[in-house]
Amino acid sequence: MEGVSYQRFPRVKIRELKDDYAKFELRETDASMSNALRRVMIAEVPTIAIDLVEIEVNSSVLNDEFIAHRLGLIPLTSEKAMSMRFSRDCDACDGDGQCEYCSVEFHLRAKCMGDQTLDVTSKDLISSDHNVVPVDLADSYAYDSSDQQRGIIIVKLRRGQELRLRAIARKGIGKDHAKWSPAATVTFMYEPEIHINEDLMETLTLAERQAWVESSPTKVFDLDEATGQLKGCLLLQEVVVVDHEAYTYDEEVIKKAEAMGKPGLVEIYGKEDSFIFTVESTGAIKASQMVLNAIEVLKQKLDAVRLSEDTVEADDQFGELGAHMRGG
Amino acid sequence: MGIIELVGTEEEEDCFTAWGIKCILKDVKEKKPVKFTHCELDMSFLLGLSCGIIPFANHDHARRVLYQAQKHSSQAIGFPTTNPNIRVDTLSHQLYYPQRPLFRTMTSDCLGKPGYGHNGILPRPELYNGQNAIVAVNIHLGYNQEDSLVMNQASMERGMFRSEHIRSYKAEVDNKETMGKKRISDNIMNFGKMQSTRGRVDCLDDDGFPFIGANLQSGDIVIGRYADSGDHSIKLKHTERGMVQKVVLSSNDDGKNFAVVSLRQVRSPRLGDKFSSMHGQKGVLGFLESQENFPFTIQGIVPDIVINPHAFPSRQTPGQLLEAALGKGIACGGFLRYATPFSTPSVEAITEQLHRVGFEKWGSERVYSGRTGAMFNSLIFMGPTFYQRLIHMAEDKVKFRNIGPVHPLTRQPVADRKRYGGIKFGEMERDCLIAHGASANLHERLFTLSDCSEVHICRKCKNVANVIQRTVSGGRKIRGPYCRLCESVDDIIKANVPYGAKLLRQELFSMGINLKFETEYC
Repeated sequence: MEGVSYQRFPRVKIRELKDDYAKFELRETDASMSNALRRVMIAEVPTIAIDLVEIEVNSSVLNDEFIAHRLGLIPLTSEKAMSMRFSRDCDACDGDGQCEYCSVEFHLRAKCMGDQTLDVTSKDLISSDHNVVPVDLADSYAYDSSDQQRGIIIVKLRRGQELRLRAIARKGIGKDHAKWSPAATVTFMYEPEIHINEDLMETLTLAERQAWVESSPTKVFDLDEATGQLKGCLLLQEVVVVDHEAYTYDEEVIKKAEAMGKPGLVEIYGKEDSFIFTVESTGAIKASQMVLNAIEVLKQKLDAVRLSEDTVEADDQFGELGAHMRGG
Repeated sequence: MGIIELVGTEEEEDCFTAWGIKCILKDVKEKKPVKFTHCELDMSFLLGLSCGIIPFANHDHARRVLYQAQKHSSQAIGFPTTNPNIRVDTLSHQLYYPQRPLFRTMTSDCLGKPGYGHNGILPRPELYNGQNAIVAVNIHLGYNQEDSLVMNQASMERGMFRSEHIRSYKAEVDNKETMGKKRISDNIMNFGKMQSTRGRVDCLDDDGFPFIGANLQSGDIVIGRYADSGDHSIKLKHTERGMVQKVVLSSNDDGKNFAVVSLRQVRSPRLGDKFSSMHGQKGVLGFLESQENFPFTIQGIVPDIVINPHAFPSRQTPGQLLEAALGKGIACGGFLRYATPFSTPSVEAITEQLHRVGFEKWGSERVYSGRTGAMFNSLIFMGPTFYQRLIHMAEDKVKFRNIGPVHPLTRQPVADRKRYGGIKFGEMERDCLIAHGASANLHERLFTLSDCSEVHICRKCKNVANVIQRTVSGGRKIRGPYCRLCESVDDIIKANVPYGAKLLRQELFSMGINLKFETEYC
């Protein structure tokens, strides 16, 4: 592979797609690509989050910073984040959040009048832009409404306490603050390749096979009922791989095989070129959109490198990488 | 039977207490019955509160248990009062999000009261002073060497171990009613805003108090107070700052009126802050790493804290590992939840529980490098562990200066942090520089930047020649070094001498001992 430049055409196969959850296979590429994708999803896919809070009245038990911090962490629907401007790059305003291109304004007014404790939740945030509103998990899941699932609790007020504030949400990325990260979970695993040494397996008794199968904490192997062969008067069922992806590379089965005096009973490799991704979103953007946006961000980053390819600075900046890109 | 007796410490002396039911039964079996007067309800009740909530305390080295029970439990930031909003402690800390540990012990169950939690006896999370962190035992780029730890910046930004710190400033004032008429005219202390040369008063209202929410910086006036004799305002030290939480006006039993201004500061973990598990394993924060750079498991779990494996062998605290392994099982819905000292579940039971919920038996996990995406060769032990934030924080300890106050007697820099003092460069440090051959640097540290001064020495008589004013011929008065012994100005040289040495000479001189200085040009 050394020195050979080759182009790869990764393939993606979608396994499962929900609003906030996606599972897909990424094949014919290597860990650098899959990890870049993962890292970008966590740290560089932009979303919108509350960044500036002006508190008018706060007589609640939580202090101003506490409430501001809690507000910041509320996920806001951020479909338009990719097309929005960073307020630091915004020409229309000087980043004070007064302009529609780089900011969204929220208002919150709550006062507890009754004897019951009043829960101030993300539902009480009034947005100036109907595209950017606090994420409501109840929208995507059929929560029974009797459960009173009313958004994310910000603070609880007792009689006479009041909270009044203005908040400005801005575009940002997870690198700057975790509140801008759209990812709840982004992870991948190498697709495992499992080879059972059938000859060695033959030498095991049923009880041993049973014990070996059960030594795996996840259900990777099982005794196959159908292929059970009669050996003498004993029904010997074959060990089969029922779900190779359930394997967590914990090596329990390998250790068990060694403990049973049968090293090499099973050989497991991680395929270096196929990955199974699991992506969960906070709800700010759809999980599928998060993957697409990550690819877009990754492309932009590569473009930035490519654009500076033939400048003199690029040579200093990228050194060998620049030479590599010119095909040298 | 069925009687619970509450025994005081002195009564306890005369009790003959069985450790548990087993003790009593064993004695019955052995046919030499011991007359126990009492029996503990649970074996762990021989420990106090702070010790009884340590999980697997019986697996730890006794010294580590004592560290936790005596030191760390009292230094940990929690939620100490139920009425923080009406209190005015000089200094108090509060954790933003205290959590109940995953494990339970007999003692911790006793903190609960019926009607809270699923089985009605869970204590409220506010009673605990810490949070459950996912702790990995691993090295992390060398940033967790020597008892330091690496923390996840994303977790920190999401509020982990965030705390608020409230400091109150008190100022008394004269009460005109109780004072009577005797001192009515002279020097009455009063609150009020007054332009001060000592500090900024921008945030003060006319009554001398800052408005709620004002952001006070170091050196600002917190409470404006004056008398006829002048300004008596309370000023913030250079280390202090914060937002005004509340202003209280009150009087004490002696009829003295006073005001208290409380300043609040919110602190999230920073490099140098101190943390501890419940097993006497303290460490300081060495690096705040981004989430994407941490190793991640197949499930996408990323540690909140990474501690160094070297913390375990010599400290002998396997209790922490058991806590993490048990905690992992509990977090996955295991039913084995108790870690009560002396009746802890066996290692087999814990490993079996972990295996049942789909994890490697010993609590290790296969992880991928967050930087490259490559699989680690070894399994990494990871599990939820109850961690505490201790009150020792870098912000309260940072000390630095270049030019600043010096001691009036020795003219060396003062030592106190509050007075913007310097850092001691002691004898051992001096030895280091000598060993390095860095004599120029040593000269600078210990002399030029410390108590450098000059003296005049008469080379003829080797005595110090003082600078005096004298009359020369023609009635002119000149000021300059003059040797009174030789009665001349010739051969007087200027030498650089530590002020301390000059002081010593003067003190000895006052006792009638003269020091002579042998000098040489160089």
